[in-house]
Amino acid sequence: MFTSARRLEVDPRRLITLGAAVASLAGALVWVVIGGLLGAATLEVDIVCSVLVFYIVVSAPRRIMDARRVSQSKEAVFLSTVSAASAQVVGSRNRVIIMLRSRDEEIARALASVRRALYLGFAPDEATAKASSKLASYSASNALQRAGLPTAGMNERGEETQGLEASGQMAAETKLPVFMTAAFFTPIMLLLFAVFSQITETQRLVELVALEVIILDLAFYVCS
Amino acid sequence: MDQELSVVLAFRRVLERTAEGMGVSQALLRELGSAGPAGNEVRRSLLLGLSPGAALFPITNGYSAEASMLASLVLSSKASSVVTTGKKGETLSDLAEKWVKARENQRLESRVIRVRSLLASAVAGAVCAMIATIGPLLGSLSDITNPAPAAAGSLLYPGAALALISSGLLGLYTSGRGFYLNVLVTGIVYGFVAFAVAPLASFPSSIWAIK
Repeated sequence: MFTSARRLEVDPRRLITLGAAVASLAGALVWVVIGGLLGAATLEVDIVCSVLVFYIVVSAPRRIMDARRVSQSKEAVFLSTVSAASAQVVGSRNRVIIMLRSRDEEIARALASVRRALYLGFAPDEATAKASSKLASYSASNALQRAGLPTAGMNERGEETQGLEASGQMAAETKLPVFMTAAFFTPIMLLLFAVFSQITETQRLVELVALEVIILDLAFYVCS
Repeated sequence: MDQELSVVLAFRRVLERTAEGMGVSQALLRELGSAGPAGNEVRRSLLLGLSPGAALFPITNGYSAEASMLASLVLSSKASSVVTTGKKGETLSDLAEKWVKARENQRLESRVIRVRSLLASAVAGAVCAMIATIGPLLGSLSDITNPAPAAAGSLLYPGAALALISSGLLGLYTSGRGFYLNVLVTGIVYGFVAFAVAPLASFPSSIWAIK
């Protein structure tokens, strides 16, 4: 569950503690902002908001890793192509790995660490294995592990990118209607609530607008 | 043809030419002519005597990811073999073309989504305006035996704020910086509907007390 956090070198317990602290703070803020507007339902709304904030904080590493995976998986094809082309001509695996460059920050960092290990005298397998374990994309990790081998380009045909794009599209198809529904019905429902509860005081109306901002902000981040 | 796709296709042909044994500069000069202003800029730099690395700099840094990837592949051949790189680059150029086409499709889909969000914003604005205008009147019907005096227009500004905030966030979600269009559409529809429905709200409330 916390694989992404571990890959980003974030302690899961610290992440949970941070999530709980932020969720408590958000809960307290919601309580203060909406006041007694919803009467007995205030507590339920407060709990729901806190849980959503907790989810947003705890799932942040996964979302960061997902975003990195797309660019890394594309870069993996480039890396394996260059690596295979160079391996056939250069002949030395170490030299090919040292020559490799990447435009992706994480892969560039991993390549720098591999180069350092090679200069220090580590074997290529050992050097690449350690650095590749930190990459988000398995294609990039595989490309780095096989870097400098003549067969490096044989396996990378962009399957991961294709899968990630398909899953991203499906996720968007699911999330868009959810957010659109939330954005469409929230102001209508809140206005009907104001009408039938006969809310006319300025303070209550401001709380109503603040409640909408909170609901839509949370929906925005959950659906992003 | 899409500019980005034409650059990717031009680089694909460059790789094919290099695989046949043509030099990198010659292949770039011959094939980038059809790649629009970016390609012409590269050709101009090459003809002025710059190295392929310097000539391709605008594409490797800052152009689309796929074109940049293919340009970097062409440049990487100087450290190995131009012919081998050209042959091995076939898969990458195929994939780059697919990725660019997929992105173009996504761009078209996002336009449709944007139109949908504008429609949703307009409808939400209209519904909110109706509720805000005749809402106080309807609210007084909840207790028909003892109707509360309807404060016409009391929800007009909060209703506008609610509708504008929701359409702004919807616009931000679907079209990023273009969110102001959603806000504008909602504002116009809200104002128009509120103005059109206003005479209903000024109906004498005592009429509802008739048993």
